[in-house]
Amino acid sequence: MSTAAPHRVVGVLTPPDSLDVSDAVLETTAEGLRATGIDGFTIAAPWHKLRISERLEGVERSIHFPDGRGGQTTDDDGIDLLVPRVSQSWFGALRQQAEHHWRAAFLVAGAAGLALVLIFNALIPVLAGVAADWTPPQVDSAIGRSSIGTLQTMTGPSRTDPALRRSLQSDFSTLARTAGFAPNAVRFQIVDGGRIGANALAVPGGYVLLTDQMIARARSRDEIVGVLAHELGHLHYRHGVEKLYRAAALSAALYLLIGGDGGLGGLASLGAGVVTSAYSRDMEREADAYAVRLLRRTGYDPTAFGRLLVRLERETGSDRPSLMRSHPVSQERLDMIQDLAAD
Amino acid sequence: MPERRQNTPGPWDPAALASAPELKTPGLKKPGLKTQVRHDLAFTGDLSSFYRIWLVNTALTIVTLGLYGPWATVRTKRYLFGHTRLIGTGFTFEADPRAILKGRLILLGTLATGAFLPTVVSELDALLLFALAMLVGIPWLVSQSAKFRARNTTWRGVHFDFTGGMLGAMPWFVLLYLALPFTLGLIYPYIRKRQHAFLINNLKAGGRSFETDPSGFSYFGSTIKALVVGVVFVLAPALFVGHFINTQFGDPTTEKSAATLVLLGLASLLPLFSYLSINAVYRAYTRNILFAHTSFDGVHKLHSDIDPLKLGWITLTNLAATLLTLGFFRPVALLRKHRYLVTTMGITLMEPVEGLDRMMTRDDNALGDVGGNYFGTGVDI
Repeated sequence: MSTAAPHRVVGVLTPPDSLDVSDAVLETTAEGLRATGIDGFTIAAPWHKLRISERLEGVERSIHFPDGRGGQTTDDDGIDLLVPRVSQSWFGALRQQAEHHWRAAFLVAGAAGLALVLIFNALIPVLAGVAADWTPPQVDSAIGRSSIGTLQTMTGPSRTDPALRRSLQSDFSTLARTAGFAPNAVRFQIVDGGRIGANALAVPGGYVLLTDQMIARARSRDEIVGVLAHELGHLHYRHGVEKLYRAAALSAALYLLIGGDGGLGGLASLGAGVVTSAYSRDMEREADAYAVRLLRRTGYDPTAFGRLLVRLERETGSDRPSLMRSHPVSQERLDMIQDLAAD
Repeated sequence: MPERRQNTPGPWDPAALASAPELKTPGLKKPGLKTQVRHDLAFTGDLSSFYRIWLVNTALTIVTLGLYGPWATVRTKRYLFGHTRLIGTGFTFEADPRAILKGRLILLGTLATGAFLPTVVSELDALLLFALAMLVGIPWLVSQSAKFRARNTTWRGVHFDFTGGMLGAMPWFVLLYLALPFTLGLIYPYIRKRQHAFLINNLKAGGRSFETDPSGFSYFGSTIKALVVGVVFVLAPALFVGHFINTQFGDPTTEKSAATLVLLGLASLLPLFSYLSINAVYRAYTRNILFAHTSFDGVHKLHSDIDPLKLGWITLTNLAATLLTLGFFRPVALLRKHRYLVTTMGITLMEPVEGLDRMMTRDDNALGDVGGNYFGTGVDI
């Protein structure tokens, strides 16, 4: 593309008293660079006071002289040959290659795709786990208190038979004691599910919540106790805080990725919702495995709660694609639970 | 005074100098009487190079866990500005990405602190702190972003600047919103007008001012027109589609195929799509009015001839295509919208342009601390 000799590059310059651009020649001097306009005016500056913009497809390179004026040239190759040390870094040169060739651009994009998978599946979960380990337990309690407040507005007092509730409380105490939780470190409450329906929750800080609707769906006590053991697993691994860290890392990553791109913010947060719910499935598996171990030690049926999960899924008729589900498909979970129990 | 259109020449070709040494790039100075010459903005960017730049930008941003983001932003803006040409010359945008990175990290830290605040202080205190942060933060961000954008932009050595500050922005970007409920929202066009006036009247190029004073009444008319367009072209079809989907697939007990689920997912985005499209139509109407009332240095007039329906259509189809391609349409969308917005703009210069000696003088104080920070929260006109 360049027709100029390596030591001279042609371009344009704005003369001092005009908004016109004049054709100009840019050449190296002993200590820097000099631009000479077609009308005879010149600007010169030593190397350290010059700034030349990076190479970018089809955009003129600007040569900034210290008095605030500047020249421009479309001769990318020429300017890089003329002033290699000012205009182009090794990184800039590589990037330029990638931006110039389709194949290289797609290669870089593919590598980034792999990196994205690694970031989501390895880096963020590991970092969130480390951060959760470093977090003082008081933070769990503080988070738990605000969640409990929200949950109280959505649920009501339990209508389950008080005798059954008392007996479940004693099952829970047995589980907690066997699991090695300090006395009063974990508490268990049965509520009317209201809007949250058949559900069981582990709230950071040591609360386990179970709804009447969940109890009504169960066919045996072992199924319920299994669910409680699963929730104790969440508390044991402190999944609540870890989830918060993951969500924070995810939204921070999205913010930095899309940063300031106004219109796309809404779409990004929608995408984040989809990803976040799929993002806790490994925690569910971890809690399942914990539950199986605990149930075996305490003498309850370790596979019962898996059957309850499959039944719940079938009754609610959920067939959402698995990406959107926070819990792994129940049949898969039941298979895994049975495998673990059989070991 | 005679008015004529001048063809804008393409990018300057170095080979031309060799073949025609006497060639002089077409300029502005005309001898004799003062003449009004209209110059339309041209856009010379092409999709294939922009798409590759976007691919590399996105890839590097991912690999660096977002830290490259500011460099990507600057390169994208530089490409779009550089290919936006007035009289054949592109605009330069040469911000320091490190300043943007600093700004984003500060904003991220502030947001994170804000998220954890309610667990530390009482709810009332948190609410008060939040209100205070909005009162000061929003106008500060608006003025800082405008300053950053202007101070990093030049054209033929003419430097842009923005002189508005946080206190100047506060009434129009925060305080007047409090009056919205009491005026049943009727004050909104006036707020919008004052926001635009704030952004234009504080803008300078080469030390000369841009000035504008559109009537609040015309902004009110724009609002009505945008609402009518919204009801006819967006809301009514959206309701129809929503109703159709609801009657066909709304029964929660029936089995749904994956295709139906995608369809339902898209339908749930209709309100967002409608809002953004109507907003684009509104933006087009107000921008046309705003520019028709804007002058530079008292004598040069600005133009904007956007077709509001076309801008709305571009916005709607851009959103849908970006979503359906999982983001891979995004560079096409960006380029398409930018091209339409700038090629409908122009300026009528009173030539020969006077006061050039002063215009070209660089104000070193203004440029000493180029922009401070940038958070990417700039308000678009």
